[in-house]
Amino acid sequence: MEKNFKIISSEIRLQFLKLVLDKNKYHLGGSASCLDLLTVLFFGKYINLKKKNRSPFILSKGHALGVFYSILLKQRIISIKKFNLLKKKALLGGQLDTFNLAKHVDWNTGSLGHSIGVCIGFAIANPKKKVWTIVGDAEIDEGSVWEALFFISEKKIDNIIIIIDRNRLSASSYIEKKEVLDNNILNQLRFSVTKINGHNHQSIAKCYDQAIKSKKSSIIIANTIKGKGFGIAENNIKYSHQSIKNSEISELIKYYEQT
Amino acid sequence: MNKLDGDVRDIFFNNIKKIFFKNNKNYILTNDSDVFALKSLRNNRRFIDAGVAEQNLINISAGLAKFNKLPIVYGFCSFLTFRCYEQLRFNIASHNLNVKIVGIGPGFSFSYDGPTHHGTQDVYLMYLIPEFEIYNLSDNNLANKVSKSINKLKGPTYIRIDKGDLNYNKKIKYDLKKGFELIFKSENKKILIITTGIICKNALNIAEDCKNISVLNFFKFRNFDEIKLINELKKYKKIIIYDESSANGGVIPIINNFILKKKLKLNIEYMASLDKQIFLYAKDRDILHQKLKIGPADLKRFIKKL
Repeated sequence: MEKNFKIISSEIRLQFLKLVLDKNKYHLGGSASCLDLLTVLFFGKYINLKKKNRSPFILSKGHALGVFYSILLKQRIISIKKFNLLKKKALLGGQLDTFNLAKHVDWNTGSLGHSIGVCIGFAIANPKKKVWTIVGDAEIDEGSVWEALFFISEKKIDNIIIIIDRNRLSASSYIEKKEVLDNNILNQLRFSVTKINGHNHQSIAKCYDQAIKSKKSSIIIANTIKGKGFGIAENNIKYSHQSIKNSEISELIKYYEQT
Repeated sequence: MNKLDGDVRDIFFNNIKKIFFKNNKNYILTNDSDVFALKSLRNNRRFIDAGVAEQNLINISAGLAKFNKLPIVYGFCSFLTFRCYEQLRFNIASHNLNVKIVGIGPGFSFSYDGPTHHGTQDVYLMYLIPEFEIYNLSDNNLANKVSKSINKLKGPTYIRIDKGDLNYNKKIKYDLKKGFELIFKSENKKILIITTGIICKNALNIAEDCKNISVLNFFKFRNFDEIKLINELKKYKKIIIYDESSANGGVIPIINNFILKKKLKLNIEYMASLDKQIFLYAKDRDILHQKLKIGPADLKRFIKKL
């Protein structure tokens, strides 16, 4: 499985880079940091985007949508022709919305800090399903995140899985120190809290398996690298939401095509 | 005792309670607010008190509605609008979800608690979210009609409900599609007062004393019957818009925009609260009305000067 995920995640990186080279404006760093987390989620047995009655999912950090689209393309849920047509009509852009890919996108994004609260509504409406969300570590500062976490803990909402993409970079600064994530504050709430390497597919899959079995809602703190796999963009604040030069993207595309 | 006697909140929420028991898709959510009629539901799994956390409250209701549940959220109108505006705009409205937001304490109904509790700008704030319909309930009769129809109202809806025994306008047959009703009709088409919410009563009392004033209760602010409203407005020599909300926070800009859009040439005057946060505290709402010069006596003087 580990070998497969490695291949697939390389293919997703390749697809993502091709989209960027094709003038799709995506946040490079934050997309790359959650790419492996999304790869395991959608290519493992966790969420089948083709199924109608699947588990709900919100990509709270919607600016990482380029990776999500790359997965839809790789899984042939959407063709590149349809993708380009929607783009040409200005119906796809820099944030996710439910209007053109309604079966596969569960929530509009663009504003941070909303998803966990919305997941509570999803979870109450779907008590027998697990509800998944990926949030960014900078997003944790939003007060609405804490309103939602306290609610889940106090009211014993047990079917939410929150994955925190801990890439240690916000849009404008390094957030190496994050008291609530680093000092076991979350352990005091009623959650199953796990820390993993967010680029190790085996750890990710194992952690997802545990979260599915858990009788409590889960928080997975996935330590990641912003820009992972994208050369100069790795852990580089300059490329949090900027792209790298086309020549460098082309080099990276060559690299992923060869590997 | 008439079935519509009593506090308007009891009329409204008792109907909600009946609907809640009939339809298990209905959820009731609140931000630690209490209304007498719903006390007994607090242990029901479909009653959710999110605590003093309005952003989360609105997000939960949006998540429920996405899966075809029918959430009814109630709480103080100022906190259910200002405190969680982005959640209303983005999570409910952008998905066009079937969530009903019931704002209690509109206008100066909590007159002793200062501007944090005054609902004098919430109407226009909600009007700025294009997907939201707004109902402002003036009396028990209208509250009864709207609450009984609550599951039939589609899409994001903001409903303002006042307090106290508002059992007047008993014989008015409210039409929710039309969105307004002439509650007092003068044979003389000289003056029309357009008003909304609880102060309809003030306008009505004055109209009953005079012979040349009609009163229009404007209670639905987006999808009302435009043609019927235009036909009504054109009949009058003078129109007064009388609102408890602030001049820019209530129905005045809504009606003004409508008049501009329809290029109507009307003779209009306004009477509303000041466009500022009012740091005045009075146990009696009427005292605040007097101080702000929007009480019945002020309206009477205003009309005499015309």
